[in-house]
Amino acid sequence: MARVQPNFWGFKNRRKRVRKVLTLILLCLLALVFILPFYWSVVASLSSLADVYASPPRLWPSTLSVGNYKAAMTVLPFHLFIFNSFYISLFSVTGQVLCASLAGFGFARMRFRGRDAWFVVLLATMMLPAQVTMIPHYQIFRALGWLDSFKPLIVPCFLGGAQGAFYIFLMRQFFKTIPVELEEAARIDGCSSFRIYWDIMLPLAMPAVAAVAVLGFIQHWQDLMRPLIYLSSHELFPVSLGLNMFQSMHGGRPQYMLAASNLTLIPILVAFFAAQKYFVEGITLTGLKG
Amino acid sequence: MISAQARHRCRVQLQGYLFIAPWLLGFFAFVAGPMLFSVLLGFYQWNGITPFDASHASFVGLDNYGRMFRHDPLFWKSLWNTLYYAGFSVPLGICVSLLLAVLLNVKVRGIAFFRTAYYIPHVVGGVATIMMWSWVFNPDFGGLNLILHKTGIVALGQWAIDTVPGVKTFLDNHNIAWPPLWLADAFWAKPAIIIMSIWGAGAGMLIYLAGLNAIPKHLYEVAEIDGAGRVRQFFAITIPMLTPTIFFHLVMNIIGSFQVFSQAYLMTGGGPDNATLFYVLYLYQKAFQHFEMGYASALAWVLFAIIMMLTLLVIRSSRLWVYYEGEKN
Amino acid sequence: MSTSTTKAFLVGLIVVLVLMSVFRPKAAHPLRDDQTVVTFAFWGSYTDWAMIREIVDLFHASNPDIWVKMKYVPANYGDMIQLMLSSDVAPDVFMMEDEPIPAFAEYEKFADLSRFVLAPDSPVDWEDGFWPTATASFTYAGQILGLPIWGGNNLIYYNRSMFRELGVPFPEDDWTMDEFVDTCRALTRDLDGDGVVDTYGFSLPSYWLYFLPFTWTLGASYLNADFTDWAFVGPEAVNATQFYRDLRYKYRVSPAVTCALPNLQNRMEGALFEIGRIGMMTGGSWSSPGLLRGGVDFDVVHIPFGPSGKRYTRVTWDALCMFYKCPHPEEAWRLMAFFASEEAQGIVGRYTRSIPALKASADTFIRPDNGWSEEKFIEAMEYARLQPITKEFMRMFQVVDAAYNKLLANRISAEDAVKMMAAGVYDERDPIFPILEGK
Repeated sequence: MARVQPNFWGFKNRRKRVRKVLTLILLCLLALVFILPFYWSVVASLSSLADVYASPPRLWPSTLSVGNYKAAMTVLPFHLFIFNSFYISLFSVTGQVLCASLAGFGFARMRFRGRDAWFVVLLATMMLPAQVTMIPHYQIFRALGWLDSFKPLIVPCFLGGAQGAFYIFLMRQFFKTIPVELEEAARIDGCSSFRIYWDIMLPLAMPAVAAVAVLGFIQHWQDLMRPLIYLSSHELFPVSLGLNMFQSMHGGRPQYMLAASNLTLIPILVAFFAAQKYFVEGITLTGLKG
Repeated sequence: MISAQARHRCRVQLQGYLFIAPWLLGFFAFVAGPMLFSVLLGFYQWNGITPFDASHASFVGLDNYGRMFRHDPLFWKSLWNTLYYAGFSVPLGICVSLLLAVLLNVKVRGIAFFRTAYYIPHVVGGVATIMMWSWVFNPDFGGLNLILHKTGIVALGQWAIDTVPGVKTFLDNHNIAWPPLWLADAFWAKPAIIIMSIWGAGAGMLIYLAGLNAIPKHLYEVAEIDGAGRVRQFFAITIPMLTPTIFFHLVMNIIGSFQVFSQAYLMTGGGPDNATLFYVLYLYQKAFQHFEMGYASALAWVLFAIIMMLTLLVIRSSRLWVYYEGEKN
Repeated sequence: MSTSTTKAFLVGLIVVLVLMSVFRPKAAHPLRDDQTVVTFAFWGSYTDWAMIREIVDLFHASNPDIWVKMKYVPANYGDMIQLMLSSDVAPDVFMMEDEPIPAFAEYEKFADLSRFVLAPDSPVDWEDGFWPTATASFTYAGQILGLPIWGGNNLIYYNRSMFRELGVPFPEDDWTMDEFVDTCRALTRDLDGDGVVDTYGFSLPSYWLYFLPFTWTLGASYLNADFTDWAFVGPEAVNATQFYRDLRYKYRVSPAVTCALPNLQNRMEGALFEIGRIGMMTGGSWSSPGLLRGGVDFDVVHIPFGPSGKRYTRVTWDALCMFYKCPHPEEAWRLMAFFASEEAQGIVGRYTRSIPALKASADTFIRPDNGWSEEKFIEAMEYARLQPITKEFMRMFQVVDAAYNKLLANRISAEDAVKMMAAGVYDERDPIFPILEGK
């Protein structure tokens, strides 16, 4: 068995601490680079253009005002847009998580004829640029009478559409990493495949489920093209379309747009902040390993 | 009579299909039809506005494909631009997001803040990012050239151009502007877009974080007891255990970067001088601005074939380098 | 899944989803039986949206038998219209700009409005009511494809406070190209003496259509008089192209172009103008509302006279078009005609974003209390010209754009740029010109 080294001098601990401090410093420096856009857009929305485009750039604005926020919120019914975005995103993500985990489990852990071929088909659906299938897609939803409703945005998510292949693939990869012994033990106990999926595999795959949920939520929150194509009444607009109302080629106020965009980011950031701990609460159940 | 064993096998088959049934249903209902239609379109000349019928669409056989390879310089240009972009952004994207994930996979107070911070570029997206980058890349007022000026890199480059023989002629021959004009210059525009793509590595980071935490902790405990150092643990445990995730990220990055569209569409419109005219952007122009939907479909299927070939290569090779804990027999 | 928190989460999620479904907003408008629905698609920023709603509300008040269902497209308008046209579900009435009209006209999806416009009891005066460039923009192959509603031309904006700070006199309306360059030079300064220029005279438009006033004024023209062949050749073309390049590389009065995409370049340009880093830029009346809201002290000045003593500017118009399969053309036409009525055109003028297409409503655009000379946009209609729009406009645009990209990155000379364009439009593999049956 392993040798346990005596640690009289606390070297190891000190090295660990040094390493931790160094990592933290590195993290801070890099974080500055990554947080810059958000900082920039917050400053730009709170101050004057001159501060934003000053050179050398001013890190702290000379004036602060929430005027842009007030204006952005009053000229358009943003509360409506935010509600619609939540509606579309929550339903879509629910569908996406269900479909992706089911199909992902099927592709990873079930043995059936044609599985690998279907998997390649799954990948293939992502390889054709959406631009050339836009017209027939539109015509399908027109024939179903779903135009100007949320249905074309939500229903395909339950059926693996709207980049569902990406999430199915992601879930498949995670299910494939879960030790096979767990499944075998459950099968011997007489568990059905669905029970294995629901009671054993899904809890173990929580980091991946969380990743699918977060990535999916952000995808639907930011999606511009599909709402643009299928929605035409402004009462149904999500924030992505609402933001575009500020973005006109001429005479738009970029500050309003930034203010509105920052406000609509808050829910996503909160969602991410809340969900991030699930990524790290992975398989800590080491005791399960045979 | 069907034997019990056969019945069991049949049930297993059925169960497998049941799991993927929602996706299959969606595939046949919404995806397969439009894909087949676009295959068909590739053999037609059709403007994408009038009805697709005999009087408005004409069958041209393989002409669309012939035109692409023989008569369309922009096809080759856009293909080259896309290869250039993918060649840099795929490996860089994988390395950067993997490194970020490893950095962020520590247990320190406030790590949630850092994770969120690193993910922000992916979240902010859209308009705010584009406005920021257009400022960063502005040649005269922008942040990046300002840094290059202040740190003396511009002066250093100028010195090299003036004194080192051959540098000036090299730059002139290849039309490379100094200091960089970024999005306004045909040489610098592609690197600028690659920089933008790397900076949005947060999504990849997220997937690697999830992957890292799926690695059983006891493996590290055992290794530590065995006296393996951090670096060795990284290469002997972390990387092999992460190969399923890396495989996923590699395939998705290939599929994604060959279809790079929005950065160029929103920031350069394909310019300057078609330097950022990526394949899908060109295809989009053909379909929606030049009203050549048939030709655009043919273009799409050529791209499809390229991506498919690369993906199959990766899948084939994955047997050599991807390790699945759930399949070790 | 076993843990109670997960169960609680799932139950909570379901409750939230159900609640949201119950309180979901409804798009449908309660229709009365005697109402005809006319669908109407348009684009624009939130101010345009507000303006159009105002006009439509007014229309509803006087036409209770029609309900206008508005389809507002906040992005990629051209693609969305194409999508709807190809699926034969286009809105009855839709807004179009002049640039894609000839290309779209080929596909016969637009109703010919002649029977309404030229009818004896027509509410519009097609011959004399509109600005002549406006009606010309939408007449194609003998058909009237759109009813112009608003548009605009380009003038030169200048930042008054920046001029004052740098002690540069305001430009005069009868200035010349040389005086324009001198003004640009006076505005280009290295204020802190660090060797880097801090303020520039003129923002170089990367969108070459914005440079058209200068190109034309210098005597060059892209197309021949009847728009059937390429005409950008000879010394005038080289001269105009040279001037484009010289503003950056000889006189050094313009900053480098940030990017080739007009949309983004315009936004950048507007911001730099607003904060006083750039003294002058070209723009239409549509730039003014944003600048006013930003509290910028600005004014506009006419295009400088060229060596021949003439000057030109570009004009562009938006119109309402009718779908050829529109089920209620009479009702749709009533809506269109209302947009071209003095009542609606007055609202257009009041928003000062665009110039009303109706000549009689021009004075509603002039607002005495605004503090800047918007009337010059009306005056400039005198020397405004139509852009070189043909059914091959998009392809020609790309050829010209690629040459100018190279020129503005200082990679080719003006002569080469002109040659490159000619080679591009006459490329024998897929020639753009000459156009045989054209506008």
